Amino acid sequence: MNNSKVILKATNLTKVYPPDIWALDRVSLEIYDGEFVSIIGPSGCGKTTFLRIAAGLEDYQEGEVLFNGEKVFKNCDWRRSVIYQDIRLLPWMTAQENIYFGLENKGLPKDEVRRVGDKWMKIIGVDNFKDKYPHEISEGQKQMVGMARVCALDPDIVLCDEPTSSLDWHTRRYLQVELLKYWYNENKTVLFVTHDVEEAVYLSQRVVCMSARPGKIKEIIDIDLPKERWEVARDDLKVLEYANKVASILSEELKRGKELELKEGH
Amino acid sequence: MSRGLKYTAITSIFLLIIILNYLIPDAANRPNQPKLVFNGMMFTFFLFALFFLVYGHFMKRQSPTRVRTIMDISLIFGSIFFLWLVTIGKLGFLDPLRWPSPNQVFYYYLADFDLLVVKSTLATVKRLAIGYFVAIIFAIPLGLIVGRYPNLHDRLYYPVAKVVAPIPPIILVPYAIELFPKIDQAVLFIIFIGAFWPIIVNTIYGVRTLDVKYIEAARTLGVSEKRLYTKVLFPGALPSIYAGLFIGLVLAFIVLAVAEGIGGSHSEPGLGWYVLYYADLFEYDKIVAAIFLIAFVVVVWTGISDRIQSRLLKWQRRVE
Amino acid sequence: MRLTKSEAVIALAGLLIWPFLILLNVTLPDAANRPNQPKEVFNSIIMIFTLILLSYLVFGILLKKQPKARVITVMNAALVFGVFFFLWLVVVGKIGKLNTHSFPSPNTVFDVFYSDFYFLTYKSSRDSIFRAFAGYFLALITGIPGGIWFGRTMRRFEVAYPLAKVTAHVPPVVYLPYAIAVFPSISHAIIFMVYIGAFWPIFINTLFGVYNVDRRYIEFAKILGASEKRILRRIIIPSAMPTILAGCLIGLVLAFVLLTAGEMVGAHTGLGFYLMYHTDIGYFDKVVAAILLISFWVFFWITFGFDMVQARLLRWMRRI
Repeated sequence: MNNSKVILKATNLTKVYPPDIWALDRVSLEIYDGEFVSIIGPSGCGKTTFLRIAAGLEDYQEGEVLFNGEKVFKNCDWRRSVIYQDIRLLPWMTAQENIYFGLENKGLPKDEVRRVGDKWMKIIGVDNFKDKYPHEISEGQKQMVGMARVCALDPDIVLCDEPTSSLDWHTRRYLQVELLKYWYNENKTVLFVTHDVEEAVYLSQRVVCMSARPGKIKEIIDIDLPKERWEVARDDLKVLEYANKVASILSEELKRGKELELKEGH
Repeated sequence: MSRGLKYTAITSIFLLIIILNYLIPDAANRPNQPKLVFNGMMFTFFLFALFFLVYGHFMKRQSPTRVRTIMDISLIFGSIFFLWLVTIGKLGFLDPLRWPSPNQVFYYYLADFDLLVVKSTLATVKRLAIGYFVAIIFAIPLGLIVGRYPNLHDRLYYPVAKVVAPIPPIILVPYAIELFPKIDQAVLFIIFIGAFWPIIVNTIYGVRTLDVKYIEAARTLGVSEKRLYTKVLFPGALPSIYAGLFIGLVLAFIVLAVAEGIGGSHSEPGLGWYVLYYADLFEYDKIVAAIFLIAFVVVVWTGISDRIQSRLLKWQRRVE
Repeated sequence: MRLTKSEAVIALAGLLIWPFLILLNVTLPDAANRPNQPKEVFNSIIMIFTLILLSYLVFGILLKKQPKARVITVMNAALVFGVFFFLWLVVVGKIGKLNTHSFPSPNTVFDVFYSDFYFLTYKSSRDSIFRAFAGYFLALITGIPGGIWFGRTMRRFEVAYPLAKVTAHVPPVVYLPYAIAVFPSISHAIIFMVYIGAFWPIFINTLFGVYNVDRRYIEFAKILGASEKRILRRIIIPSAMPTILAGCLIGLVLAFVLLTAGEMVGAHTGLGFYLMYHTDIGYFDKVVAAILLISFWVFFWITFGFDMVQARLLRWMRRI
């Protein structure tokens, strides 16, 4: 894997929120082309901040983030598209229009927009409710649209900000598998932020464990499971072993995170 | 009483009015009223209500709440016209100069057809439409831009708007008439000012209260600056813009009426001029006719704009 | 309180531009086409204004009695209007551009406040403000209870809303001839027009605010056994309050619009009449003085009357 090129590279990345909250403290991380990386950690460890910086939504004080060798600093691009936790479909567009929106942004001709959009609507299964407005469909259906509009864009890296945490059990599993297949079939790179240990281990090739306040990388664990992950049982012994390992690294952090949460009253 | 019976009774009020109008002799102080136009109007109302009674209620092709609302409103209008006709037209209450009978009032739509219904109405609608739309064309894009840049808003727009926006635009009428060579241009300018402020204020409010998460989502989908305005900020601010359009129209119409009253003449008519001109001549029947005509213009205008509004805003969750 | 560099520049510039105006006025010679302008009144008013600004700065920044953002906004506004007066004074008064008939210099305009003190500054203001508040007050005490009553059930709302929307758009100016005919004095007729103008936005917003109160809260309160009166006081009014207040603000703005409109068209006293009268006889220094005074009163009542009452009310609501 290490012989493929680095697609996203963060060096000594530091982000401080006023007055004095160190969301990220000299974080360095390299993500290779074609990788599926998860970042996991207690709430407030800066994992979402890291993702937002990589997406170009947030500034930072020190260090550097490079995407394909170009500096990322508050510049958004569809090549680094995001699947959000709160989904963020544009409420004045139907499901289909939401999916076409990004494609039109790319400047594709009309029939191309329709061809690519319809293809992904079919794959993810948005077809049945494509003319509905966001307020007319369920949370799970919304996230299917949220995923389809990013997949259709064909980004170089898909940034996932806890995309499954607001979904029901069934849709969550469905979307996890869809994401894995998308990553596998299209040879994509995925950066997946989550607080769910099983999810992180089951989906990714590398799990980055972070600690909170200041947000730092504690350990990076390689997950040695086949790439065709959807064929692996979720209760496979190896999966559980990795999950235990990650959980034991995080247990201390989680406890501290909870204390912080109580103290600051989130 | 069953609903069908009740609705039938309401519908037949309009027929009853027509029959009474023919059967009961005119009041002594208002003899020989021309009845044709009023009766025709009542017959139109009757057909309208009848449509909702038969098609909407008995054939169940319209929602029951809609039929009920139409019937409630028909009852209100029916009673008003009934009482007006009987007390003033037939029993002869109140003095005939200031309180004309409905027959007299509606007759002017025929008698003064050219000046009132055609020239004045067209002139007013034309001025209103041009001034209002020019205001929309300037205020909405400007509002979107100002709302997007906090510095521009805080440092320049807000201090000016806070002081200037609430100034009654009417006080600029004398100045506008002085500065513009033609009355029509002055009137348009004043309508523009009147409608401009409420629209821009509400556009900016809509942009600034639009949840930033939608802007972020659009940006990570690679939106260009131009498409951000047309596809995100504008539709996102639209509910608020509509509130501004409503107030803007009210203000524009008030301002227009005054400006016409001050600057209008027989050769440059308008509904506002018509009312104020005949006020000086104490022809109150013509004034009432003009007021009803204004209400009619408003009904048509708001009806069209409601259609557009509900189409553009159909993405919003309906209020239950 | 720490100011950033740009904030300090704005605060200082906003303050110093005013004494600078006086300095310019005294040192620069008058334009050739406007010799010997009476400068005392303009200079004194600017002086008073400078002192008010200075004490506000001391009070706000040094004694920390005001939030920083508000002080900066005020100083920012002072700067923007200082630049306006600067341009007016220099371009019109000192360089002598534009014609002397329709563009008086600030010195001559401000002199009107003093030379015509009794008629303009005192009597016209007094009459106008009384009319505005009488009409506005009536609109408050009828519009809010009316809106609550009609907004409480869906049926009433469905009837009231379309009727209100149409009637609200009919410019109240057209009722003026009637109002003059029916009411004992012109002053009453104008109060009536102000009332109509302010009534509709207050009524419609109350209607909307009450109708759109989240039904879940009401149901919840009913389950807990709250009486209708308690539901009204504890749930409906507080949650509709922001919408009602927005309507009251629009109502206040419209009250002033209708006040000036009515006075310009019909009255024999008041600021609107003063404005129109001097337009007809072509004294534009008095016209501009009246425009400035009306603007001042509108700004004054909205900022120091309405905004403060609103802040008080919302704070009180939050405490409940």
